[in-house]
Amino acid sequence: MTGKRLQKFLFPTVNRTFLLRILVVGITAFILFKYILIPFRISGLSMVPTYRDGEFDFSFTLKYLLTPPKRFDVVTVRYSGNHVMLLKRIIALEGETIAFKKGFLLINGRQIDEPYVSQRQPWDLPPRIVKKNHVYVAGDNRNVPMETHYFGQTPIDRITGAPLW
Amino acid sequence: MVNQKNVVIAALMAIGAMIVFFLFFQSDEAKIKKKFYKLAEKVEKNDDEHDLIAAKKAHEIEQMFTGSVRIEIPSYSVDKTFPRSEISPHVLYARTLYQKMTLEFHDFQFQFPSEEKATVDLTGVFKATTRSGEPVNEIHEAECTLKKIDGEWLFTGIRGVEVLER
Repeated sequence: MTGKRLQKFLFPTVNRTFLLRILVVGITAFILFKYILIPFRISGLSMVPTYRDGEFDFSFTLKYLLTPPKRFDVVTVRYSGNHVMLLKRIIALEGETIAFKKGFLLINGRQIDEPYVSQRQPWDLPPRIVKKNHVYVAGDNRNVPMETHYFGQTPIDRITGAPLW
Repeated sequence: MVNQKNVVIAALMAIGAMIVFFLFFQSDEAKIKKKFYKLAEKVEKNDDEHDLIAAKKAHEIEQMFTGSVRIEIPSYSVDKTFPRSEISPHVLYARTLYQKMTLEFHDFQFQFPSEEKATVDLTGVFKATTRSGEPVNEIHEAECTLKKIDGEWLFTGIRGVEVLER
């Protein structure tokens, strides 16, 4: 009995129902992985130690459908589309004043604890205000010179989603 | 009953029609995309490139631009308009810096302000290895402007888009 079922599963009869099922699965997979769970592979060390080079993940695009992004959320930020995206952590929200002093994050002049940062170099960034409808993002890897780390403020509408794990 | 011979003829005619369509009736978007892919192909460099090949590629890249070109990269404080003849020396100099290099374009967003003008927002991925063996991986969003001259789309300007602003 089990053998027959396995044989039927592995070598199904190609009929109308089967073709319809294939079509439904294909369309569902296309919509799911093109628009809702966009697969991506991490390239680079910007988010070390939280995310490592070469890791695989999905960007869940419905994450901010009903709620706005919060501080410390890890998000995917698009360039001109979803083919290439940045993986960064939100460290400041609109209207806040952000600065770095000796590698420590200051929000509105107060030092903020960042448990996800393991090692840091003495970054010094003068205070600046995050613009309206923008968030300030940076990678978790602060053990690099500030000049070589890509971080800054970006419009909220550039956030495409958040990693699934 | 469908004749098998007729099906084959219909399939061949359909393939022929598609080839004719792609050869002669390409949309402006397809033509511009092709231009970018050609640019990427010319930028590509492998080990031990001969000087003559480098010069030929630089000249071919130069021919893809209009008489004057505007380059604007706010993050590097670059805002310059220069004649096409200056492109080739710049390209040749850049090629001497890297042992290997590739350029890829993704996520094209087209706008046509007029029939003869196009603005393309895209993501460029530049990967290279320096002479000392260090890897380079640069990703930039750019807004490129093109002009249609005698039926051919030529680049008139490139503006770097700041995705993250410090």
